[in-house]
Amino acid sequence: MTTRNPDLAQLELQRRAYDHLIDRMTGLPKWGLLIDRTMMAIARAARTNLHIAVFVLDEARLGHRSQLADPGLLPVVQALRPRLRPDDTIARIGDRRLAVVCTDVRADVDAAQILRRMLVDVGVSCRMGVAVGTAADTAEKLIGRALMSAGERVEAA
Amino acid sequence: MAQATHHIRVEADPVQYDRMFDRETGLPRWPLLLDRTAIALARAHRVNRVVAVFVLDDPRLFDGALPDFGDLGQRLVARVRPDDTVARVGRRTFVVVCNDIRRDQDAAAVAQRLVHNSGVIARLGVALGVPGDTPETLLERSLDQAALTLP
Repeated sequence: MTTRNPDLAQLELQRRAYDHLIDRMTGLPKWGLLIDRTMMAIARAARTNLHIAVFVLDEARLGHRSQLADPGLLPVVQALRPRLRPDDTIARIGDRRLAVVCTDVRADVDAAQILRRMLVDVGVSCRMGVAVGTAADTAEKLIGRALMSAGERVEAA
Repeated sequence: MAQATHHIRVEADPVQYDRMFDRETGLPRWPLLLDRTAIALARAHRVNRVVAVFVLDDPRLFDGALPDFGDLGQRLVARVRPDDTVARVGRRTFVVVCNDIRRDQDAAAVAQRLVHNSGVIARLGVALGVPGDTPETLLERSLDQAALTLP
């Protein structure tokens, strides 16, 4: 038996670096991990011939805007998480802005269903942006399209 | 299609780059490996497949010399699928995470592909994800295996 490679002592330092990739308040991935996970979703799409859906939820909150109390972003995240698949990503990319990346999406139909789940079932109000991508996309372009499409505010019923 | 790794540009954000990638090889480092393994485990659970982790520790050329690590990294990348991950977690330690493994034979085939004609000999560790695994337990199990050699 030999001892483990001493280089692995560096692992402790690398473990600490992971904390910098995560938003401390929500525990969500930040921009760097969002890009990486989107890129990996695109790489997977090249193999499966399925699509990737990216949603941007700007100024997201639960319930209608007319409801006075605004508990912040955390309840939105907690309500969204069980409605998405475990390998989908919710990332925080701004003070009041979330991005959701869903893999293995069958084009627009699945994307519309996910959208409905977030807006109707969960009751999120936000300015919503959506982009559905393929293996030909890059992560930056796909997220950029979702960001650009975030226009009119959608209020929960 | 080769595994894309340089989406965070070192010129644009060197600190962020160093947190995620190894400069010499351009491969993910431990934090990114951890994140990708977590996603791989979550997906495997959803689609009823298994995650396989391979460790190549202390790779050497046949004459005992150290290989060019950048070159070795790219050769490993070329032997796996685009949504698999090749990471460098120590100066002489590479970790490969493969998604959508169906059975032991699949993992054995990947292991053979990684080492066959790779031009190096290395300590190899292999671990398959089991229910209840976290990324840490799975990766640590594979690293522990690579640390053991027959007497």
